[in-house]
Amino acid sequence: MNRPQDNRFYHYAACFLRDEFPEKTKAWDDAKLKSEIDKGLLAAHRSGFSGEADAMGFIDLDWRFDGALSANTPDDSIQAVLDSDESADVKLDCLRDLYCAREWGKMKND
Amino acid sequence: MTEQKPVYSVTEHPDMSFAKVPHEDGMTYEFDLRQEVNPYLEKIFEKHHKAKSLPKDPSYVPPKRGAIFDYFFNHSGHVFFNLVMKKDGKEIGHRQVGFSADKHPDPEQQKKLKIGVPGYVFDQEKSDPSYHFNKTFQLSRKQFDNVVKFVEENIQNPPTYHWPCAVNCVRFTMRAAQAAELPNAKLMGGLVDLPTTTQAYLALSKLSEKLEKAAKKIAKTFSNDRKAPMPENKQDLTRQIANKKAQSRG
Repeated sequence: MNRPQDNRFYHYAACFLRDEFPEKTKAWDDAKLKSEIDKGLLAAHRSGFSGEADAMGFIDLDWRFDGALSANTPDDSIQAVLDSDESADVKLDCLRDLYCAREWGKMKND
Repeated sequence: MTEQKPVYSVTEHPDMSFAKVPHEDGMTYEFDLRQEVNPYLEKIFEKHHKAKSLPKDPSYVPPKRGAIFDYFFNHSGHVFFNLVMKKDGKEIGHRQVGFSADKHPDPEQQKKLKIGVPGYVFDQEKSDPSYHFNKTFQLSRKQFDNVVKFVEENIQNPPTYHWPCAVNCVRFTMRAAQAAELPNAKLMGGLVDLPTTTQAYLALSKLSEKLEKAAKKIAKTFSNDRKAPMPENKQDLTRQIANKKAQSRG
């Protein structure tokens, strides 16, 4: 059975993801969304993002990176950040930088 | 006599006291937009704008944020602006204002800085202003005061941006331009006549802001004081059950 704080997490995580990713989530019912959050949570814990905020940050970025963070074999740049000795919040910052840099690369190639 | 090396005012905020001189007849105000030329466009800029690129070594230490950050820091355009006050056409006050992501020499201060303090005075630009593309906008005193207010507010409450430096430079300058109500500054990419790279920075800046907002939202709603739920991993459970069965048989 879920702890009350878990229910709170799932509730706000669902609100956040529906708000940030309306296109991706619009066809999903709550159960499907929860199962996607669970996938993200498992990957987050596996990578050491175990606090609520860190795990949510991880899921947010995982979605933006199209699942590259939770993939069984993340690409080298992402893996390097995940394997670094930095704290979880610094890792999230680095991943955000990396995301921006990749988008920048795409813009240059367009 | 030996030549004195220029002093780089790393992480210092600009002194805005020059801007407090009361208005008098004959006084005019300028927002002088500057941008370092991107190496990709160096040739074009040399030809059309008589611009030259920045020296490779800007004589201060960029923050260590990994190869990608360094790439942006070293290869992309710094964007900043000068606030100029003139009386009867003669300059009576001048301050360069921009966004900085410098390291602080004091490690304790550095910890507090995270990345980015606006208000870096670009002394390097002073020593050789020729390599920068620039565009000058005339301001009313009210517009001028609004920019000064914007800068002062940011000094009091520095933003902690995390994104590639050049993007922050653009964003900071763009916001200052908005404070000045410069024509088209409200539109993304609307700062007229800026090089195309800047347009791309602005698009990236928009993306960065989106990420920044999401991160803030997460920080507001979720806390690391609580552990995130640990969902049941069905594969793990199956494995555990199989292991237990094997142990009980053994």
